[in-house]
This record gives sequence, C-alpha cells and structure tokens, in this order.
Amino acid sequence: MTRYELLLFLHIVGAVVWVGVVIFFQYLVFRAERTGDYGVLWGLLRDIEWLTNRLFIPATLLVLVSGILMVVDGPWSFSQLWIVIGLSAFAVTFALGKGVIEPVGKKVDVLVEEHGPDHPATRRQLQAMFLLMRVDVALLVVIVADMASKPTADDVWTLAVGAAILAATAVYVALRFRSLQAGASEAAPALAE
Amino acid sequence: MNKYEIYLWAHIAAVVVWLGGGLMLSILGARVSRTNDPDRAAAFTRDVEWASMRLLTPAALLALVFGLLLVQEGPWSFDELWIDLGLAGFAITFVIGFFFLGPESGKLAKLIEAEGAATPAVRARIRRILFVSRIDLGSLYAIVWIMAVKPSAGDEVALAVAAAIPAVAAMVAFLLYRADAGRAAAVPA
Repeated sequence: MTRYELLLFLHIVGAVVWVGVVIFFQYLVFRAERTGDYGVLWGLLRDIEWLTNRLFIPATLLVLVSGILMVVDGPWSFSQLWIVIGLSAFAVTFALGKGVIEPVGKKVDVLVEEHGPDHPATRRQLQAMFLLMRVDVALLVVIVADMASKPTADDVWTLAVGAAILAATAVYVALRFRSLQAGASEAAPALAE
Repeated sequence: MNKYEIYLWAHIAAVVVWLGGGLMLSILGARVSRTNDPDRAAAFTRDVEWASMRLLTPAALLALVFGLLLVQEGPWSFDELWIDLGLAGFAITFVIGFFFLGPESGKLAKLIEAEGAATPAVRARIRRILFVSRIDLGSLYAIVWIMAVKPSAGDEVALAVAAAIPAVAAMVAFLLYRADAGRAAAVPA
C-alpha cells in the first residue's frame, strides 16, 4: 500500500460523497417535482442546506486536497490538459455554488417565511434553484469523465463529448428559465389583483 | 478515448451513484427518524423503495457489469485477490439488499399504510433498516478501498484496513441504533 493509493482512496470517497449525493438529491427533486408537492421540495432544500456545511464542503475539500497531492506524488503534472480541465471545472462549480446557488437558496428561505412554499413566487425561485443545481450536476459528471479518461489535446472526440454535455445542459436550463420567466410575467398581473 | 476508459468512466459513475445514493438515504433516514414526523417518515419510505428499484439496484448492476468488462479488457485477471475480494463484497452487499433491505422496506411501507407512521412498531422497523443499511454502506466503502489499493496477499496493512472499515461501520451503526432507540423510548407513543 503506497501513499498514492491512500490518496486515491480518499479522492474517490470524497467524489462519491460529493457527486453521488448531489446526483441522488436531483433524483429526489425530480420525483417531488412530478408530484407538484412544493412542501416536499422545500423539505429537500432544507436537507441540502443542512448537508452543505456538514458533508459537501468537507467532501469538496477532501477531493481537492487529495487530488492536488496525487499530482505532486504521482506521475502527473499541473500542465496536463485533463488536470487543467478538472481544476477549472472545480473552480466553476465552487463559484456557482457559493456565488449563485447559495444566494438563491437564501431568497427561497425568505420567500417561504413570508408566503409559504406553495406561493407562485416561492415555487419559481425553488424551480430556478433546482435548475441551477442541474448545471452543477452536469459539471460534476464532466469532471468525473475527465478524470477517468484523462484526455490530451489530441483526444478531440472525448473533449467534444464533454463540451456537448455542457452545451446540452446550458440549452435545457436556458429554455426552462425562459418558461419560468414567461410564467412569472403571466402571473404578475393576477397577483397584483 | 479507448474502450477501457469508457468502461472505467461508466464503472466509476455507477459506483458514485450507488454509494452516494446509499449515503444520502442513510443520512436522510437518520434525519427523518429524529424528527418523529409521521408524514415525513411515510414519504421517505416511499422514496427509499422507489429509489432502490429505479436507481440504486441498476447502478449496482452497472458497476458489476462494467467492472467485469474492465477485467476482461484491461491488464487484470480474475485470479487476483483484490478482484476476488471486490466480487465477494459485491455478493455480500447484494444478498443484504435483496434478502433484507428490499423486503423490509416493502413490509415497512405496508405497515405504514395500515397503522400510520407514528407507531412504535414502525419506528423499530425503521431503526432496524437503518442499522443494517449502515453496515452495508461500510462494506461498500471497504470495497472502494480494495479497488483503489488493489492489495495482494502480502499487503497485510491494506487487508487489515479493508476488514476494519465494515467493523467500524458496524460499531457506529450500533451506537446510532442505541441512541435512536433511547430517543424513541423518551417520546410518548
């Protein structure tokens, strides 16, 4: 058993906890969305908020630190494309979580306190938040694929598949956001009355 | 990207979904049992049954299939100790899931439907399921350890760690079970 193998284990466990829980959470959200029960969705949001500091942030740091130590300890270098992609995507997902998803989550908290989870404005904000989380899931899936296949600049097909996953997710999220906004502008006059 | 890398990605992705989902269920289960909220307990039980059939079992089978393909395609053989240990661990966790966790979740769902979620019998069954699923989860993380370290018969330390992971998980599961039972006894029926 070498130090590298120990780091690899920690890296995989961190990724399993982080990525696996996020994917499974989206699965539960998808199920709750189909039933249209916003009370359940609000409960899920509270669960994920509870898990963020207790599970996600430690798991994220474990993945990052063990990954960096593996590059130092193993036959890799920080100039390799797959490591650059992995670290860049990690930075994007971290910024998305801290800079976008967390503030939207706080807005949802305020809306639920003021109007309850079934109010149209709360529903839209909840849906927007879960959509943003789907972007995060797509990024994490691409990171896992990048780590497994370790593409170089010559692996055009591999890079194209990763880019296609992100592009498809961006289109899906943009279309859903548009329909959410359309719903909001239709509902606004009714709410004013 | 060659065939081996595609199999490896699919194997890792399936493991991530399987183990991450199992962990999420275990954490949510603990949270739900602490709230003593019968509606939440009933909704959670339905989620467990639904997710087990549609996500976790398919992910477990995909992890197995792509693992077997990786052995066939890569520089590995079925005589290697770490592969045998991985397959044995998979068999144990599959038996636990198929013969205990699956049927118990089904019985629990029926019991909740018949009696509601607030009865002592339902709470006891939830505690029992959580206890076994935590030990199961420990076995799964031991398999991850074996897959990452790939020990041979001479790697005593690595093999001892592999044995220690489920043992620690069993101890933690037992302590959490006792704490949950103590909390439930303090709540009036």
